[in-house]
Amino acid sequence: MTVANRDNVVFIVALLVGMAAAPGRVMAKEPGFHALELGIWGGYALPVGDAVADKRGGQSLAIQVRYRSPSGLGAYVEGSYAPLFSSKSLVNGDIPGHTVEMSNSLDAWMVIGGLGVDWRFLRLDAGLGLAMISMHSTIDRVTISPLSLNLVYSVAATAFFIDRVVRLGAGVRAYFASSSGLNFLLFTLNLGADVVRRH
Amino acid sequence: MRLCGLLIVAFVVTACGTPEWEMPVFNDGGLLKNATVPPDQASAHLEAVFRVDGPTSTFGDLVASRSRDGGVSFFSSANMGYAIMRPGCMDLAGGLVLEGYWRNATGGRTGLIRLFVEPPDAAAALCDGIAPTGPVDLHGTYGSGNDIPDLPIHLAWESPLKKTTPPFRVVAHRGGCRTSDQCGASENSLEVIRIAGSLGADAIEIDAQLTSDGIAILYHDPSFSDRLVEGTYCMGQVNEFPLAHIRALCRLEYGEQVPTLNDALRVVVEETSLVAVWIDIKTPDAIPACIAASAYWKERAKAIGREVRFVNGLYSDDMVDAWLQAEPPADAVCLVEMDPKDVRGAGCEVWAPRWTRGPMDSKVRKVQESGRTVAFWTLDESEFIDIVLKEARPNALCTNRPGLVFQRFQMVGESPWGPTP
Repeated sequence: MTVANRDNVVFIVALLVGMAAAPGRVMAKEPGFHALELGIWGGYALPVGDAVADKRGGQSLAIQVRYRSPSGLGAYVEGSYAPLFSSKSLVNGDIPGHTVEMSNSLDAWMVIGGLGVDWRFLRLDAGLGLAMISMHSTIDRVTISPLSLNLVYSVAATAFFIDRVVRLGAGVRAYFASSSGLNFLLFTLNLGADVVRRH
Repeated sequence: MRLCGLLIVAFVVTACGTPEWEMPVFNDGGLLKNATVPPDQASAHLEAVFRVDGPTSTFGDLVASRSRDGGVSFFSSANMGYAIMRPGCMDLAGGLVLEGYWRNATGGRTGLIRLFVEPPDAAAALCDGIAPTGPVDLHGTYGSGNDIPDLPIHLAWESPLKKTTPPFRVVAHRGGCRTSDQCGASENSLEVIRIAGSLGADAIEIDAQLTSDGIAILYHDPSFSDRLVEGTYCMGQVNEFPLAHIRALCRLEYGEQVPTLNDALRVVVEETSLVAVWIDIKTPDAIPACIAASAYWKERAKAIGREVRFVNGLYSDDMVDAWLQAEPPADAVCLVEMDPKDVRGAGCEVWAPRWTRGPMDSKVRKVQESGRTVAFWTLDESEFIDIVLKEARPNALCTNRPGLVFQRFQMVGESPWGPTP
């Protein structure tokens, strides 16, 4: 485990401990319900850190299934897509003999599961999952498309404007992909609905 | 509030990375700026075991020195310390000075060091290319970081270096050290191969695998990742990348190119005094390329009057099968990591067991008496190095701390059994 990955684990653990240690009981939106929520969110991915790129990020999309307990604590699973980087340039020197055109792009496909807590209008999530980073690179008309599987950690905060059976909100999600060293933020608009409610 | 506090602490921890080690340098060029390079034998005469008078907590009680490729290095087992220095004759002021940097590999302390050869008439003789009549001492100063060294240090000659027949070889893992050892260059780079001798190595171990267009390169892992390389688009299986993509997209952690096997062997033959290369072949399809490169550079070495041994490493039964199917030439040298019977079955010359299997002294002696050699891997701790050196008496140890193994051999090592390899 690299130092960065270890620190990311510290970050997630600290968040979970913080949730558990928060003063008083967390408040469910509508106490007393077990709920199964189906949601989608779309937004803009923004990678952070140094990178060779003409374009950073782009439109992302996800689908999420969440169980919420009467206390407001819950668990979720989500699948998402986020474009990360793309660039075009000329290569000279590294490939002896001639100058050639190079184009590259990176996308992330992720499956993440985690724990969340709903507290008043705010939702906090911490998750762990897998990210398949897909790279496409063309140099001198030769294209390669290798894949890289990464462990990914995520934390998220979402605030809801409409918070009933159907809910609408906006949030920010931070992702830390382990072996690629990629960190990125997603700014999201969230739409969800309780498809099952039981006392 | 408590949650916010935890998040802030966690964010600060996340933002902190591992500090990169920077080699200390004399900002004004030091005394070497106006000194001339002494004759080769001057450095060779400084090879010895010295007793440290002064900062033993930093450098230990005894350091062993040796000269390679124009420099003189000192190695200690305390804090896995070493100093890498260059000699110079000060024509105007007189005297022979050594300047360079010291580093504690454990703890990360580092700084500049400057030593003068004593007595003055011995220094003058060495600069004139004459062997002094007696042993020499070294005195001078060391410091912290790039500060001018001002803390006194004295090295008193203790004994000559131990030289055995057959010789014992220190093999530096991954070309000299791992990237994580922060020795100033990335593992499996041309740059680390160039400094391997000054780090204490007689030979190197390197990792070879094929690109998608069939070029053998030096790289350890099956995939490119931020553990070893930098580059936004440098990720995925190594064997999916043609060399052109690797050249354009990937840099090793200290900014170097990922080298080809041919480039690496050229550097060994033409730019170092290393006596052997252990090519750890990572995939069966790379075996023919490694055999061809070994044969070519063996001949090239001979042509310039050097003898370099190229040893092809086989770590599994599948690799041995692929080696035999490749029908290597009779003079191709191979190494097997499994058991002595596998070494004999593959017709190889070297047995390289993992050190965690124990010293296995009777097996080692049997292999050595059959005319083969034994190289344990990969030992980095003094305690275990001493056990293997004393009990197994191998021909070589592969290590990420070549200077430490060199120093420990000088302290406790004995001649390997069997004929000279």
